[in-house]
Amino acid sequence: MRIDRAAIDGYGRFSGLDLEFAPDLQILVGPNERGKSTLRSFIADMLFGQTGDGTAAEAEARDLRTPWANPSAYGGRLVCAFENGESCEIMRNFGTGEATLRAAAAGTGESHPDGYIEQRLGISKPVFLGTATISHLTLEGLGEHEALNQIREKLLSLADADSEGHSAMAAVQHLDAHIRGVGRPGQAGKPLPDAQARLDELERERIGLVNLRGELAPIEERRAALRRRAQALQAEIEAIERKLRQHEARARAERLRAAEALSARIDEVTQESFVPAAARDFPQDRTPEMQRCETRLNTARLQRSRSQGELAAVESDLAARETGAPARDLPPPLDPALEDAFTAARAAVQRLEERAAQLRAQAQAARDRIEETQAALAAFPDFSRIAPDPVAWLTQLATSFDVAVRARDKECGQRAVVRAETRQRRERLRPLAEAFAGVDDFLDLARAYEEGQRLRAEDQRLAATRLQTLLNEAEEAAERIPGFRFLSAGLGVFLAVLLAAWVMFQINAMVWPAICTLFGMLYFLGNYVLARRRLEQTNTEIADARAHMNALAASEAGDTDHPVVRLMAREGCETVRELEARYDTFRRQSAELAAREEVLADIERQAAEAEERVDMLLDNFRGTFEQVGETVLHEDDVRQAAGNALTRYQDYREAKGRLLDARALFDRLQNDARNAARELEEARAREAEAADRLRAVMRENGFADTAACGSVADALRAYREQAAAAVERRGGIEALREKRAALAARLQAEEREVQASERALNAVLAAAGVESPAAWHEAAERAAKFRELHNHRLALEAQLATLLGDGDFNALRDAVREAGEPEPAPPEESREQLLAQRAAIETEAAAITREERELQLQINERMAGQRSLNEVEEDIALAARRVARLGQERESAAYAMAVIEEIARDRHARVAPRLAEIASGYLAEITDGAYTEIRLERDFGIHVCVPGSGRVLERPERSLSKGAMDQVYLALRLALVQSLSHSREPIPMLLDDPFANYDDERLRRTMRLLARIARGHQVILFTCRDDVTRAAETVSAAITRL
Amino acid sequence: MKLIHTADLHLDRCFADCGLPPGQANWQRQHLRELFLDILRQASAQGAEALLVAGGLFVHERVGRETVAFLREAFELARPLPVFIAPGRADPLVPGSPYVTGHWPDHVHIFQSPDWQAIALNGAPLTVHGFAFDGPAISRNPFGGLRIPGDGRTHVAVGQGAWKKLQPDAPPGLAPFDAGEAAAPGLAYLALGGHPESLAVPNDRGVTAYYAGAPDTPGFGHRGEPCFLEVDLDARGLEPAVRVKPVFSASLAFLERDLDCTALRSPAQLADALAGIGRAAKGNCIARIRLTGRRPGLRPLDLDAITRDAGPAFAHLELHDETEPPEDFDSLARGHTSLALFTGRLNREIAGSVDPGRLRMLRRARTLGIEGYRAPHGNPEGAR
Repeated sequence: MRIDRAAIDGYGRFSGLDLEFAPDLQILVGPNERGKSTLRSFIADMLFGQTGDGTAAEAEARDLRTPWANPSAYGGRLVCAFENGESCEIMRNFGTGEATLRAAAAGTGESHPDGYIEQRLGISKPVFLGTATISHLTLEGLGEHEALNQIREKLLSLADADSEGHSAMAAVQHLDAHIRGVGRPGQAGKPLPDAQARLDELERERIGLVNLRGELAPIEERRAALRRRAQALQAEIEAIERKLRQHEARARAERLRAAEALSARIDEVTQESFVPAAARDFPQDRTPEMQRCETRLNTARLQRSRSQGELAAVESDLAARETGAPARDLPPPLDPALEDAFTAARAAVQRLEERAAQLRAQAQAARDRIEETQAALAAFPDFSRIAPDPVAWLTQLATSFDVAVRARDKECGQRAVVRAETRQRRERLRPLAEAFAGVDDFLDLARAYEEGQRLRAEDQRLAATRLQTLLNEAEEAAERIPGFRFLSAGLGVFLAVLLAAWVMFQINAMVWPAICTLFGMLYFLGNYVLARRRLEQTNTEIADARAHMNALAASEAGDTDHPVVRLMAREGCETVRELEARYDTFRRQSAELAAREEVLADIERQAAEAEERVDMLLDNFRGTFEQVGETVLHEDDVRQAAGNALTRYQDYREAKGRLLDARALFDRLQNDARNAARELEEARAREAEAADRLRAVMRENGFADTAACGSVADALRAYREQAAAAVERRGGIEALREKRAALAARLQAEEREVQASERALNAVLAAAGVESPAAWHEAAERAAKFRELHNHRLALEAQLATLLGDGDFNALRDAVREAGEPEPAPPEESREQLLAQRAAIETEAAAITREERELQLQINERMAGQRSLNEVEEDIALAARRVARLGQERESAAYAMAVIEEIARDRHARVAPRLAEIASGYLAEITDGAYTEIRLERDFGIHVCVPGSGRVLERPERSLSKGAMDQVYLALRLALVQSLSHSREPIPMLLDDPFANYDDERLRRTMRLLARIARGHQVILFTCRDDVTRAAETVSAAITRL
Repeated sequence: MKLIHTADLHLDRCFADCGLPPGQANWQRQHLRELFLDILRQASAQGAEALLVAGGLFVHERVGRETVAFLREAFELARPLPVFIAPGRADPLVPGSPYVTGHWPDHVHIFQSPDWQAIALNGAPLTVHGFAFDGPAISRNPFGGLRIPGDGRTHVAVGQGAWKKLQPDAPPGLAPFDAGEAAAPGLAYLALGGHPESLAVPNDRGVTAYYAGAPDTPGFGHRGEPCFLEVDLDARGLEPAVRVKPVFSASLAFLERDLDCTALRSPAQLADALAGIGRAAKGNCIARIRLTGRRPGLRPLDLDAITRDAGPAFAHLELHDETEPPEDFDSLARGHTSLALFTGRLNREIAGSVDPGRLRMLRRARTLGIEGYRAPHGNPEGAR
């Protein structure tokens, strides 16, 4: 395509500008800031329309393009022509977005869609801008250092994406970095491994939770069984309660009957009380007083009559004694204080002897108890030497063992799970591992294989082409040989005829035809010989080519031994890509397996440590529990052994307490016995002293029989008898006289007493309204009767109150009535039996409740801090989704990377030779043969060959000047455009002053090159430099000044 | 005579499939309890003769002691409302089931056998027939074996089963039934469970039969409004007159939909659009929204920020980003550059792919590849 004309209605600084372009090389000259770049942008916008990515830079550029003079006239017209002679007129208004594309040359007015140019050129606007526009900046941007690398990058970018700076290699690097960003297995701190680790952790938590639920299930079942038993017991209690209520109802009915009987009896007593009620107020309480007065009077009267009789007897006795013999001397009475002291001392001795005997018996009993308790204690282990607090110690042992066992079970459970998972992974990986076992670097091998395949295919294609060419040539030669032979023979015959005619007829005019015929014959003869030789040579080459083909075919056949082919056959893959996917799977699964094996190793170590700890604890506990008399054979015995040891320790502690109590009692009794013995000695001393004094007094009083008596007490008894006899005798007459006087005086006193008693009795009787004690007694009997009946009534009322309890009679009656008739037959069990049964059941129920609470506590302890299975699984789902998302992200990036690598490899392999060939020609032309060959590797590595020396500059940027580097780049860019335009519509090229570092000679040569290229590809060159203009004039380029 | 019919509440169910985080799921589980309390309250307030639970009261494998205690307390609160429970496949009557181990109030009747049992209600002429799943799959199918005596009482039946019209391939363990064989002559009402949507089961025997449906939306992908049923029975005539009224429960909706982002110009507009969806649902929904089409801008969407902005309009919002950059992939595929070849190949593979997972992978690969071609040199942004 070429651009013929541009009419700008309004675009940036341009308004009403009309330009015509030469079909080949068009130079647009203008100083800086005259709109060269704007014009270039106008052409691109007109061809492809204004598109943008919405960025701020793009918006700013769009603002700059808005017409400065008349914004409403934003657009213009562009006329272009295609290779096949068609032309197209493009009219656009960027303000309204209207676009009209129609065929212009034929005047048919046929309209085209907006993307017509893009469709015809086969490239988009970005591609056009990236490839077909070469600006000053793109060259300046190369810099001086690593210029070739940058050129290579730019070429790769242009080849890969038609834009500078975005190559497939950069894309692959970007994707690889993206994959690294997502993270690979075992790579800590990256999202995917972290998410996978979190998922694994949650899985472990879930498994632990499931295991825990499994472990708790029997406890739950036990708890449920206990609850059922408790409910059954509660039902039994309720049944007993019902029976008790029956008993209560019967008892209540009995009480009602008893209460009614009591009430009747109270009424009877009340009626009986009516008769003695008259004596209700009799001062019966003064009866003792009256009786005392009466007794006093009777006693006084009796005493008076006795005294009167005694006086009479004394007077008669006195009369008789005064006539009888005198009495001899007898011992006087003893001092009562002395007697009392002796008696008290003797009593104290007896009491203390009894006390001492009692204390001895108690002490012996205490001693027996001590020995018995000591014997019992000897059967227990000595807990005091085992631990300061055996309860805490035993509990701690059992708890620590439980914790260790639980930890071991948990670790072993996890180990089993991870083992199974690892085994599964290993089994899953085994076929791939066996397949890739001997392959060190499969990817390089696969790439080399593919490269070899591609090269061989290319060689085969070239060889086939060459063979075909040779065959054609051979055929052509074979076709020519008979002609040459026939013509040379024909001409030879004709020559012979001519010569014969000349010889025979001497016609000179035949000489020249004969000479011409001779030359013709020689020419065809020579051609014949050459054709024969050529045919022979071609046949030789055909044989070589066929041999080469056969060698390639043999080489292809030999590929069956290639490791990649073997792997493909083994894995049933049809393409290397499938095999690479298998290899990727193998690598990924290997990495995952390695990670799992690391996890398994950790878990194995932890489980082994946990098992070892349990075994170690068990060994330790065996010895420890042997000290407390318990045998531990298995780990299940530990808890039972701890319980037994605790029970034994309780018994031990109780026995110890009993021993201490018995010892204290024994000590106290011993002490008391010692005190009693001391007191007994003292009492005995006091008794002996009192006895000695008594004996002395009795001897002083002339009692000589003390020695004859067995004891002091017997002597004292004898002394008293003698003293009493002496008193009796010594009384004698005087005593009788004194007695008579005393009796007389006493008689008078008794007379007064009788009188006083009579007065007192009369006063009491008068107060009671009775006249005599007999009347008093009669009245008192009536009052007593009344009081008895009254008290009886009160007692009955108290009984009734007791029967009724807190309620009243009516309440009891109502209760009985409400309860209805009691069951005809009472419960078989008595109330006491039922109460006993209830107490027993309540005890059992309490034990069950206690056990259930303990189980509940156990469950709560085990479940403490555990999340619910739902929560864990919901977390797992979230984590799995995150892992899947990140995995897909990684998979997508890896897939994109693989596709880009594959496509880029193919594309570079195809583009690089052609690009190098064209660019080499351009460079040789620009540098006048200073450099004639550019070599491009498949990865677009650039080397420049130095003619003559055969040297290849692998790092040409170190040897070439900046201008030469610019020229290498320009040659490659021009070649790239040629390559992209191959077999398509030629793309016009827009160059914006790319000759900054060119000398004049190379500028002229470049201009000539551009002029030549422009014959196939229109070149529009924007410049502000006069030397460029002059160089353009040398190639007769069309020059337009802006 | 009024009955309340519910089923498939599935207390203590797991919401992992719905993508709910544990906090939101716990809230949802608590909401299920409140929902059941509300059903009991309404049944008591309306003086219902009985509450029929046709299976699925809880999930056996997951039910916790707190939930069992909650049910006991809830039944105590509803006393004396008779409750008839027919254990279903989610809450089968197996050893260790709370139905077996729990201590239930005496007005709660739990059917104990996979064969039909009849329980006559004291104080009302009502007999309730029911059966229990004795495992996740019932050991013998009771449908077709129900016989109703002519004792003048009103007979209703409750149980869980799979209507063959809905599940033609249901195995025997799910108690499959034909509408005709399930409707025993003499039966006034058949209360069914095991189907998440409320549904009448018409039959030629004139027996009214209904699936109650779940009173709470089971999750994404379910249609129908959550409800329970009020059943009015009038047995005064020769044929019992039955009127069934669904009572829709105030439940969170599970909203699953796609949002085409092509017309949206910025992430803020996207957040506004999402918030609009939430507001339309009155904020009372758990939403799973798949973002499709072309996203605003070339950069990947910051889903955390968008969820933060739009999240308050939802009870829970889960976003799936399947947007693609605003590219003309067909245009990119033109030409012979490796970018064009890459885009073209991915375009073809995407067009030929039917597996959704692979399709997502390919689309993402295409986007990542193009981003790779266009990314500035240096370290790319890592995955989030």
